[in-house]
Amino acid sequence: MLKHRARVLQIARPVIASSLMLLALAACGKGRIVENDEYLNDSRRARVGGRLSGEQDGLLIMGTDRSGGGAGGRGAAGEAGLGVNAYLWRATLDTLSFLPLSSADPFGGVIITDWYAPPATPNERFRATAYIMGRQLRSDGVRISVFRQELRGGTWSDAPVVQATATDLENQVLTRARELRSQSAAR
Amino acid sequence: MRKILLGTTAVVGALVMASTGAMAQGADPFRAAGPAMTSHRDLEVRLGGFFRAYYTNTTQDFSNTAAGNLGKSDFQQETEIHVVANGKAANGLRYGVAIEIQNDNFREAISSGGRNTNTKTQLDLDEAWGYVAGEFGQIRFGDEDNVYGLMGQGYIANFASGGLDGDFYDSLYGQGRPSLNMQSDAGDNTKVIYMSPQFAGFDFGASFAFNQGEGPEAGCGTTGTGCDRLGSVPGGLIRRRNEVTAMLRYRGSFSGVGIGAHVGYMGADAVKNTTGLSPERMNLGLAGIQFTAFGFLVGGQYVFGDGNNGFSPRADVAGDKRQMNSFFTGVSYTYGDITVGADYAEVRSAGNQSTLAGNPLTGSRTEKGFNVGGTYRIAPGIEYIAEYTFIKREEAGYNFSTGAANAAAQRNVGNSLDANVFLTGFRFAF
Repeated sequence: MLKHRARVLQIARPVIASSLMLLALAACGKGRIVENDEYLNDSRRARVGGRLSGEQDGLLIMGTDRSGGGAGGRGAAGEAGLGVNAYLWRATLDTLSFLPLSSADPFGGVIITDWYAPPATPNERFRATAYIMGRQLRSDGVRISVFRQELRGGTWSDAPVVQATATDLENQVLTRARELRSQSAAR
Repeated sequence: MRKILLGTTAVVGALVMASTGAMAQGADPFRAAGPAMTSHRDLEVRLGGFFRAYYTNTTQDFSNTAAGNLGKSDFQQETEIHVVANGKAANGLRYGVAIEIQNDNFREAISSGGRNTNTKTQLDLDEAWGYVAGEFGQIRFGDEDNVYGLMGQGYIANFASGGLDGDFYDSLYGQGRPSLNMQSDAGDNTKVIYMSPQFAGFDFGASFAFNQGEGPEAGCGTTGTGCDRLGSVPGGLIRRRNEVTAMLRYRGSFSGVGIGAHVGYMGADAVKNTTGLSPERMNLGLAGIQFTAFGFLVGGQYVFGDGNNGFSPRADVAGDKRQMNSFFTGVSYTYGDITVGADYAEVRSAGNQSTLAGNPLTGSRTEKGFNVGGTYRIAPGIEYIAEYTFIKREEAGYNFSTGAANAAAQRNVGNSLDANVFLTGFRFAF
């Protein structure tokens, strides 16, 4: 019996010591709450990426939808509170996030940025407006307009923008949307 | 302008990508990995489901006997219905329940004569548990995996039907089913679990179960071996009692490479023998590590110590102190909607410890498994999978065709069993 106890201690000593230390920290309430999706779920259902229902975790049959949605589980139908495609919406926010955001309407799918003057070219500034056209993830589902002004004599004046700039941004959005969708499907 | 835009976009994109992982650890209990949940309000109850339909082609040694011959091909289906409820109390305490209903009856039932076609589609419960969680961590209670099953790292099951923890078992029977000590194999016996918050990447957990019983009843028709609470019995019983598992887990990332590792302990007494030597206490060490980068997931696990295969205590047989050593390694690669991978496992253990009177102990048992396969995600919730699995079980002096030790004169008969399973099909989740 003593030999067995010694064996237990030999194997478990590092785990016990570390665990006691973490338990003391837990008592202080200083740690990050570990969510349930950070533990292995060994059900067969958990191994399938995404959901046919478009919901993160099945069909809501009672209560308040608490999932908050996201491009991941809700698919192209859009997340809760969105009137447009969730992937395009998030991808557009990601792509334009280097510009200060002025307004964003998730129901109408409109994102308007404020003016931004790159540090390297303080005499010119840019602004963008993005329109997400609907709920479907398609190549013509986003339209971006870029506006440019130059500082002339102490006042900002409109200046032409290379047409390809808006197209490049749209392509960036579509690329990002595809990434988000792939990440969603891979989960 | 374009350079500025694209350059800045790349930087911002990288930041967003980096933060996606943290967001994915969002807040919705029971939810598969996904984007962050932004709030916890009220109670919600959800219904989810799973269905799979496979074609399987199986060859297994000793499948053709005078009693009957087995064919190779089969169609299989499996169904799961999940009911989950989550809520958050006004004081911030989170709570919930998960109930998993399935028709995988054979797996969870105690085998008493093999698969019965009249009952295998009956519904039963796989896991059923509740939890409360808060700043103190989480307490779970019910039929659920132990903390090794919940927190283990280096477990590569994200391709095909789950690698060596996949569905090929359903095509094998009897002695063809290996004990490869997958981290979910310790079972869903009713237990209480504590798991801590995370500190600097570390969290820990501990679980305890009085016995290996599941479900609401004690299982006691009499005070015999069917009783969950069986403490001792003439002859003893290789069944765990007072099962304790503790895990320390680390997760972090360095230069874009995700690292996860664990060390742990699993120990248990056994049902004692009232008429002779009792089975020995099981003491197992657990270790695992995994790396993720550029779509690759590479990992491995090691289980070792005093015990037999299948997370079982070892019988106290004179001169038999053979330890169990279990190795697992796997790799997977995900590109877009396709994931491919391979697993290898090898378990060395005492194996059979029952011998005919006057015969020597059988040799140590070696069990090997290899699985290679892939998954194609047709759309969210629909996947096509294909995989091949090879199983080899060996033990000198043991006959895998009869499931018993050989007499000395026929010691080398049936000492090795090979099995091959190819399966392909579709699976769905909603």
